[in-house]
Amino acid sequence: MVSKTEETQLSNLETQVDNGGGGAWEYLSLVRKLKVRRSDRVLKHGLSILNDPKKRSSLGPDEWTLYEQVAVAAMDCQSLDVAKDCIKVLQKKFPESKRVGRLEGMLLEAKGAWTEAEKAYSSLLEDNPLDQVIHKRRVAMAKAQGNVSVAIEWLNKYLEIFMADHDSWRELAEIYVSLQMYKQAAFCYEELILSQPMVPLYHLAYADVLYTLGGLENLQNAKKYYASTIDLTGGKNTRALFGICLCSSAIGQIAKGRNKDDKESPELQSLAATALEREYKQKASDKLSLLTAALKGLKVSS
Amino acid sequence: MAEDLVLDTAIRDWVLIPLSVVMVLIGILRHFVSKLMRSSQVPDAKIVKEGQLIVRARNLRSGANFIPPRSFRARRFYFSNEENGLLHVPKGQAPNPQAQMFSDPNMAMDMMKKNLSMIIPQTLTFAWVNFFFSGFVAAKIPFPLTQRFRSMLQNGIDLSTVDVSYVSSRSWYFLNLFGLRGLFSLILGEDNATDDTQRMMQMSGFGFDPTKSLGAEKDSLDIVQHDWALPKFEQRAEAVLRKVLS
Amino acid sequence: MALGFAVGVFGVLILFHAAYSTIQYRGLLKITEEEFSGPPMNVVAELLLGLVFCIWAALTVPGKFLSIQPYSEENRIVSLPANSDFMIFNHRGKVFPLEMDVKLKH
Repeated sequence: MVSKTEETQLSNLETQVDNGGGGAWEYLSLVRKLKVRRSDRVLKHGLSILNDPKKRSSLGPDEWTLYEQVAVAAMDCQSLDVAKDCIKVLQKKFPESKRVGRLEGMLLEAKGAWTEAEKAYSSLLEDNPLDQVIHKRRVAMAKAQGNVSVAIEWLNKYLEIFMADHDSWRELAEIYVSLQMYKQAAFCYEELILSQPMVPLYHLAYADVLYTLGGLENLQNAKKYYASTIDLTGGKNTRALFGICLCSSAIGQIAKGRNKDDKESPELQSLAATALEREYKQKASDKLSLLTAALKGLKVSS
Repeated sequence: MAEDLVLDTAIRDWVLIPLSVVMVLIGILRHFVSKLMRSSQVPDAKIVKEGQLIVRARNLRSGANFIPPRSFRARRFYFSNEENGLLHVPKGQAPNPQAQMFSDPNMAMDMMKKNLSMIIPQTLTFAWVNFFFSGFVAAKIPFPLTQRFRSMLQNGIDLSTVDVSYVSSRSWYFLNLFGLRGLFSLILGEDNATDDTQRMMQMSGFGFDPTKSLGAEKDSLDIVQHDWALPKFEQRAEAVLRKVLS
Repeated sequence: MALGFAVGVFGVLILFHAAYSTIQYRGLLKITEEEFSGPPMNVVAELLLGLVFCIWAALTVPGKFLSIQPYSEENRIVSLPANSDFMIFNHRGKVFPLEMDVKLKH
């Protein structure tokens, strides 16, 4: 979870580090803590620390964490030589470690040697059949090869045992959305909302899925979840504001067709529209005309 | 009673300080010995699954009001229906923990190791203290205490006339035994093996029956009243937006 | 911070002094053989003053208060972390590798 303050802190540190202002280690630690994917920068700055013996030794035991971080980043940037060297260093330090074994499997994956990677993972699983990360790697591998249905199958099997793992629920939801299987995705997002009810982004994603599903009931529910997103973010989420407008107009359309009087309060929509206009005025005044045109189109139909 | 007992400084040098030092050293030794003897446990898939199941059911209970009623009912049915609900444990199938213990010698072995590393040094030090230091008044605490503390502070001295604020050597041993935990967590880190209370918890948790907690979770899930929170959020969102816009 | 701490210490000292004066007062009552009905006025005033000082110090010294509102800047979640356990390397970076001249030296 990346909060607003952490985001600004991260971007401040990023510009500072990019301009050579120091603080590379703080930046890398923050990246690790927030679990954001900044592989190119991690690779560059991480290597600058690792290649400097004095800086490296001042890290103490964190040195090895950094090696791991850089290795993964290097794989992500396809700098396989660097990844290989990092893993070699780790291998020397921790000869029997499963975590290093996992990194080796990932290196095979990055090379595209799927069968060998699979072999490496299954041998690791033999030692410890309940290693969550390796199960996840297998899912990711199936996905990387394009076998999305296999990935879903693996993931479902995994979730049957580790059913409280919300990261996996999120992955499954995203896969389902990418396959346009919205009902299943909605289930996954419900699961995510249950496990972390105060994260507005799950409410938002659930609302998106419900809106896409369509139908009066789903649209009304979607509107409610957009509303909860607005409440949880203090009205600072533009997507939720747009969602309110879209849902209201769609509900209006359906309700008009059925000739049922509208129970929904129209006020929320107009408030959201004004909030949107204000936000556009402040941040992108040149696109304000586009927005008003779009909102007018929505209002006409309602 | 009125005049203070004068304690020989040799008692301090040869009883109080050695006793404390020995207790600390034994605690550290115990930590490392139990670290050596600890066998890595491979958790059973079924146990892991049950743990995760309980977490998920608990999430459902606490976050129930955030999902639509229909989804909630479907989930509750999935968890607690009488035929094949996940939380439903058929009667008579609940494994007896005792039988499980005998069927798995590793488990019994583990428990014995834990017990050994706890009991043996304790009995040994207790015997040592009893043999060498019995009957010493080792220290005096700087505040008066009531008579009820006599059995705690003057264990091993059968004199009712001594003021309660004097501590006998055997009681000093007990005070050290229970009071050094904070020091150990400073020296050895948070998760040290000397933590007796934690060990007690584990011991009592050993006879713990996962099916029971499944049943409890099922019961509490059954009585959850679903009251969807989301309709309220529309008004709240309106209020928020009005506040932002004003 | 230092000021708050000093005030806290001062408050605790005042409380101790109040306790001490109460004990003295009771000793005095014992000598004059009167009943103890309540501490004298100045001790009560001292107690209140010490209480205020201690509360003020306890509220300022430990640190700033954090917001519990879900929409405050510290708590408002703007993005989810990358699901790094499911990271895949078979992405566009493979076709367009970054031109980076990096090497791990030993």
